[in-house]
Order: sequence, then structure tokens, then C-alpha cells
Amino acid sequence: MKEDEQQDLGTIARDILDLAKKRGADQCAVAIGESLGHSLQWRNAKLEELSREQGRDVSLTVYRGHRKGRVECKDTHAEALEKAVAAALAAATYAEEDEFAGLADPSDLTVVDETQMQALDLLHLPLPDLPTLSELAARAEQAAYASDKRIVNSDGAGAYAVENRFWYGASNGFSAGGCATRCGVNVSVLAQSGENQQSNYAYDRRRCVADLGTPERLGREAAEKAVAALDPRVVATGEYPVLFVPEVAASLVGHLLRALDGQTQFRKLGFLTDALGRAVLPPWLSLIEEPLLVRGAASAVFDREGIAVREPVLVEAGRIHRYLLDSYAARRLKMAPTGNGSGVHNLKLVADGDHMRSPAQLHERMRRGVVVTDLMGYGVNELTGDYSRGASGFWVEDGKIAYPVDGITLAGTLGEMFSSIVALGDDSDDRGRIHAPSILIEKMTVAR
Amino acid sequence: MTHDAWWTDTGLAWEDLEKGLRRLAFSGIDDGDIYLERRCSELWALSEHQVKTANYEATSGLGARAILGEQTGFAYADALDREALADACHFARRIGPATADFRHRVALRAQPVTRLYPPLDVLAGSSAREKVALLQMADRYAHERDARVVDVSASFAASYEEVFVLALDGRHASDIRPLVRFDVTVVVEQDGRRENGYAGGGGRDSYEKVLSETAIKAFVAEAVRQALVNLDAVPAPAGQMPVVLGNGWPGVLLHEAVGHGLEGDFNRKGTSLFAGRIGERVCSPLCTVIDDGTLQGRRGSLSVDDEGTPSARNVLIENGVLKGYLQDRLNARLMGVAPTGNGRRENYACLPMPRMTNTYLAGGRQEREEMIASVARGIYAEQFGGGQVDISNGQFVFAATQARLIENGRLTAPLKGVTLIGNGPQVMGKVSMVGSDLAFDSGIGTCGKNGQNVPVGVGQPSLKIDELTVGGTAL
Repeated sequence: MKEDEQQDLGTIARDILDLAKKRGADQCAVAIGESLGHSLQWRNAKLEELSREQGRDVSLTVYRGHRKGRVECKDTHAEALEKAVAAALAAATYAEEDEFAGLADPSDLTVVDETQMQALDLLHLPLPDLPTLSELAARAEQAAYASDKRIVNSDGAGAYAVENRFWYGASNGFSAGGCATRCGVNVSVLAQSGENQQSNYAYDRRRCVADLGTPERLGREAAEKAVAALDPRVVATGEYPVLFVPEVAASLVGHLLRALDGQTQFRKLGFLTDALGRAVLPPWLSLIEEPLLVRGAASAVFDREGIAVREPVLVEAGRIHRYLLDSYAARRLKMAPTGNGSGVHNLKLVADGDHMRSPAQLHERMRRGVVVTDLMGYGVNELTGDYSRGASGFWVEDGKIAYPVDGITLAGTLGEMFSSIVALGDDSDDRGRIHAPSILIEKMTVAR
Repeated sequence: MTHDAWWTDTGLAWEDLEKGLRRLAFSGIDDGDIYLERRCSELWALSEHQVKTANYEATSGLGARAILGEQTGFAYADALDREALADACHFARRIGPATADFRHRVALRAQPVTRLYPPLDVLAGSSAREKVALLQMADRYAHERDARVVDVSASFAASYEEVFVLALDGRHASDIRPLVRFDVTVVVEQDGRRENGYAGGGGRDSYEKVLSETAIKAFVAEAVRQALVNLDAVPAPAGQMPVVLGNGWPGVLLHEAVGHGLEGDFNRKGTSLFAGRIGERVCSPLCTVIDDGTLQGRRGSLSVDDEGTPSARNVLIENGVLKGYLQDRLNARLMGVAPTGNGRRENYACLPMPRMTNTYLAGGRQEREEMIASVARGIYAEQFGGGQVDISNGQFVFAATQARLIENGRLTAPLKGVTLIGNGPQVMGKVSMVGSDLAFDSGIGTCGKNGQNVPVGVGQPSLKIDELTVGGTAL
């Protein structure tokens, strides 16, 4: 990103704030995001889609006293902004007085250190061009077809590269932005054996194209996963140990994060209310954020309010150490904001050596049970903690993967699932906000 | 014809669009279009007795695509002006060969459109003060219904969307789409146990028409009722058993079990398990499945789809036999059939795909009571959350949020929320009774596919499935 363009977003942000104040806002905050990039899709050795991504989003929040209004728009021409500000102020006029509504306290704002931001190393320009992306996608699909004769069809392979810029500004004095790139490759193929067909996929996404897994590895991975799922068998309904692979384990951690969210806590709308200090996970397990991870998927120096993560530990030795609080939730709970207004940053599950094992050792440890590779549906009630979802994966017998299974359900309650985690894998997945490893749960009800 | 030109107050003129088509076209081009869209939406949300959320959103933009065989070139811009259009057409054209000039001449002509909803600016039609007052009323009413109500969330959401699509051959169509909805979630507490209940509804018309005070009260009462029933819910059983489904929203079963698998793109590519099976028996002869985008005022209805094809009533499965797929223009052309009016896109920044509109199972002859009476041990499921399907192997799930145990032909204990799982064609083959009580959902469905969300409707009479896996905890 050239510096003058970066400056440009800051100028727009300041202009919008000035206008909002001039039109009657007591406090206001603006977030501007901009993306520029391209993507393509390759299928059966032919380019199928060529798309360009180019967008700008503006989100303005205004306060009239303790009444809040928000507007989102894309057009930043003078006339459009005038309308947007008017709409936000009108909304704030009719919203109701909420004594806690308002911007972050200036003393909570981080002092933005440019060196610290540069050190995150999130920006890798120039973006890979279309021929480069095209080759990545084509090679991934080709590798998938080549790896097994049972790969009979393709849903396509895609590649993309995008540059994102953002700026956050507010009338409490915060004003800072940043930029980052991301690029990725994905491939999805179909395996067939007799009447049975199974599709599966593999993907990678990184800040820098050079860090992507080779397309050949991704193609093989997709093919192997699809072939391995062919000719699933049934399991007898019963209670068994269940191992969630990293791709699905992150969703379990997601349920815990929503329970620890400030909004859930002050309204008591989760299965873990007044959770601070309570033992929720086993004592050998901690959850720790790493916001400043170099080239990390969710690295950031500050959140959308300009607040930094000051205390990285979220769960310490199984006990809830803090909640995830933006400044509003913090005021409600009489606590300090935690820098999580935009979610968690590279959350890691940290276990002692005795409880971290290779996937093969985890299979050995469970002896007999289910490895879940895919979850389906929305059967989780985060208020009561009741958990019931569709799943597919593998049956483990005598400590080894025996055969694929599908069409099963897993049921239990979130509270019991978290407290009965018996081990983690050494295979954590760093492609998203939550860097989950495999998670082994002592037992759940498996139905078929 | 007046509505066809809603965009004349932007920076665009007819001649810019004609120029855009010329820029897009190349020798051998099969299809292409220019799509213009302007959208306003609002959200008013109450929590903790106060309307704390008042959000407004305004967007406008355009998309241009050029198609050659199976290949698509696409670009969009967050603006409705000449430069953005020229630039988008220029990029989209890159899918074609880099050959010299190609003269593309068209005669612009409007596509006649039968309007299924009024061209209302629903945001302007009702005052902010009224919306706030109605949300307050909903909150008070929930607490009045039962002293065990401890938390209420209620919201109004509305959007007003103007779309215009100009095809490569000069045909153009436009549509003005109002959409409103109301949602309410209540939490009840008794002896330290908390449970929730949800209801909501909406459609393509004004707030006043769709969401009268009476309608809102009925949704609130239903949410409270569901939450209270859940206070007594016991763990659901685990394993295979007969399942009786209520009418209306449980039609989400159909949407997942067969609907997605019948979308043209998956069948053209041969990745759906329904591919190549037209004319074959794919489910019980009791089942006739229809996708109908022409139902007046319904959430999933469209006067015209996002490619300019008028929506239609498409019979997908008739008495158990597969009749046809849901098509957009690209997949219809590649499969040698006509488009069915199912080409939809979330917005101008997305490519159209074959999508459902209002999908339902035609009514049969039986009564729900007969179905329940015929079950020795099973469950009756009357309300659902969302569902999901893997179209390659037909596995689908949906989550029952309100269900009861059936024991010896009678309804007994209410059950905790539970996921039901099955294989689409297998489950549809096990439909043994179809009710005469066809009903549509109240207007709350949103369908996601490849990251694009569109409003949809579902409908279904009560029905009995002889065997389905129930994902409870009770062994």
C-alpha cells in the first residue's frame, strides 16, 4: 500500500467525523474498510471464472447523548455522506436512552506504534497476478485427479489474492489504520466407488503467496480425504470417545467464546453465566491469545475501538480468567475492556506435554470411538448448552482408524464436553482466528 | 416501463449501458449481462426493554459478466456511474479471446414483468416512532404473558431493493422488492433453569400489511409458549425411529433433503446425487415437490429473477418421479433446457447461481392425528431451526427446536432440541403419509450457498417418515 492512499482513508474518516459533529452528533466513530483483489476458479483443466474484487465499506456510529444510531454505506461522495450522516442521526433520535452507550474511555485507547504494526508483517505486495493464481489452482486440481483413480469429478479449484486497508477513527481522539494482504488456494473433488460418491476439499490461506502450501499437497489432501470417506459404514448407537479434528474443533472453542462474550455475560444468555474464576476446562489446559503473531491470520495491534489486548490469557489452567469485552460490555460489567471488540486474535489451546499427542497416539488412546471430520447443521443451543449435531468421519477400533462413517449424530451438553476433554493433538490449525488442534472428548452419545 | 428506469437519477444513461454491452461483447460470446442495484435496509432491535439498535444501510453498485461456454468473466463496483461501468465491462471481457474489434449491435427492449408485490419503499412507509412503540409493545406483551419471562429480544428488519438487468441481447427487466420481517426471542426462567423460544415472520409488502399489532402479538405469544414448553423438556431419544413432522416451516426438510440437490449447477457438473436421473423414481410416490417463485407477497417470491427471467411454478418431482432441475441461464444453456427463473444473486458483487424460491411439498389426504396414532415409539417435531445438506452424497440434517415423544400413538413428554439426520432420497422414499394441511412458513427463511444468502420460503403438509435418525442423548 502506498502511503498516500493510506492517508486517504484517514482523511475520509476525519471528514466524516467532522460532518457528523457539525450535524449534531455528541460522539461518533467511523470504520472504513477497503479491499482490492482478484480471484479465479478452475475446473476440469479449464478456467471457469475470473472475478475482480473491489469494494469499500463505511460504518458510522453516532451518539446523541446516550442514544446510538448506526449507518453503513459504500459511497463516500459528499452528497452520499451527507445522507448517511443524516440517517445515522435520525436513527439516534429514535433509539432509546441507554446510560452505558458511548465510545471507549480515552484512557483505554492504545498508543499506536507504527514499528509494532510493521512487525506484524501482514502486507505482502505486489499481489500475485492472475497467471500466478491460475497456475496455483490448475496445479491443485491436476494433483487431485492424479493422486487416485477414484477421483472422477471436480467441483473446481480456486485461487484469490486481496489487499485490505482499514481505518478506525472516533471523536475520542482515536485515529489509526492498517493494511494487510491475504491469498489462498482451495480445491474440491468428488470420489466415486460403485454407487457411493463423496466430495471433500482442502485449502490454505496466508498473508503471503510464498507461504501457501504447495498446490500439489492441497490437491492430494482433498483427493485422499474424499477417497477415504468412500463406502461409509454404520455404527451402533451408543456412548463413545469422540475426537474432533482441528477443522471442526475450532467450532467447539467458538461455542465457549460466545459464552464468554460480554454481551452473553451481562444478559446471562449463555450456558456459563458468572463464569469468572470457574473451572470449565481441565486443569492442564489454558487458552491464550497471540495478537502480535507475525503474519498471523487474526493479528492486530488494536480492535475496532482502538483498544489493545493487554492480558493475553483467557482461560488459565482450566479456569475462566477473563471475558471478551468491548467498552460497552466492560461498562455494564464494571470491568476493563479487553481489546476483543473485533473477536479473538490467534487464540491458542496450550496443554502440558502429557496431554498433547500426535493424531495416531490419540487414536491409540481412544481405542474405540469416532473421529469427527465434518459437522453438519445448527443443533446447538448456546443458552442451555444442549448439543446435537450431524457428523461424519471414521470409526476407530483397537486404537486405529478402521473405516469411514456418516449419517451419525453427536449429542451431549457443552459444559460436560468441555470438562471431559482428555487430550489435544499436536496438529493445531493456524488458518483462522482460533488455532485449534484436535480435541479428544471422553464420551458423547453417538446415534445412527 | 416507469420502473425500468429507476436508475436514471444516477450517473448512468441508456447510452452508457449500450456502450457497456459493446465493451463486454466479443466474437463467440455466449451470454452476458449488466446488473444495477440500489438497496436500503434498516434494523430496529430491542433488548433489555430498550430499542438500543437503530441501523441503516444504503448501497448501490453494478456487476458486469461475460460468458463463453462454461467460462465467466466478472467484475463489480460499489458505484453507479459511467467510469465504474466501463471499467467493470472491460475486466469481465477478459474471459474472451484477445481479438480485434467486434461489433455488437442490439435493440434495447423491456421484458414484461408481472408484479407480485407493490413497489413500496417500506423504510419510508412507517415512522421510526411507530416501530419503536411496537417493539416496546412486544416486550411488554411478552412479560404480561408469563411472569417467568426474564429476557426479550425483538426486532424489525426491512429492505427496499431496486434491481435492473440488461442482457447481452438487449432485453432488460427491472424489479422493485420490498421485504420486511419481525423476530422475537424470549428467555424464561424457572427454578434456575433457563430456556428460550423464538417466533417471527414477514414478507414482501409494507410493515402495516405484514406485521400488524395482532400479528406481532401472535408471534410473541408463540415464542413465550415455546419457551415455557421447553422448561419441561426431557432429553431426546437417540437412534432410528419414525418421525411425524408438523406443517409449514418443517418444510425446511424438503429444502435440504431434495431442494439443493436439484439445483442445475450441481447437476450440470455431475456432483449431485440426482444428476442424470430425470424420469426416475427418486422418492415416495406420495411426494410432489414444487418450487414456486410466483406466490403473491411471499418472502421467497420474485417477479423476475436476477437475470431477467420471470419466476415460475416449477414441478421438480411429481408423484415421486424426478421432472426437472432449478436453472439459471448459464446452466440451462449448457444442459440444453430453458431457464426456470431461479437465477439469483445476493447482490451486485456476486455471480448468479440456481437457487430456490418457495419450495414446498404438495398436500395429500391424511390427517396429522392418524400419523401420530400410527406410531408406537417415535417423535413428533413441530418447529425447526436451520438445516444443511451435502449434495454429493445426500446426507442432510435439520434441528428440531420443538418436539414431543410419541408413545403408543399418543403425544407425551416435550423433548430438548435435537438434530435429525438422514439421506435425502432414502428419507423421501420412507414418507408413508402426507397430510391435507399444506401450509407455508411465516416468512423467516434465508438460504446460504457458496457464501451468498437469499430470502426463501418453504412449505409442507404434516407428514410421516417411517425411519429417521434422531440425535438425542437418551439411550
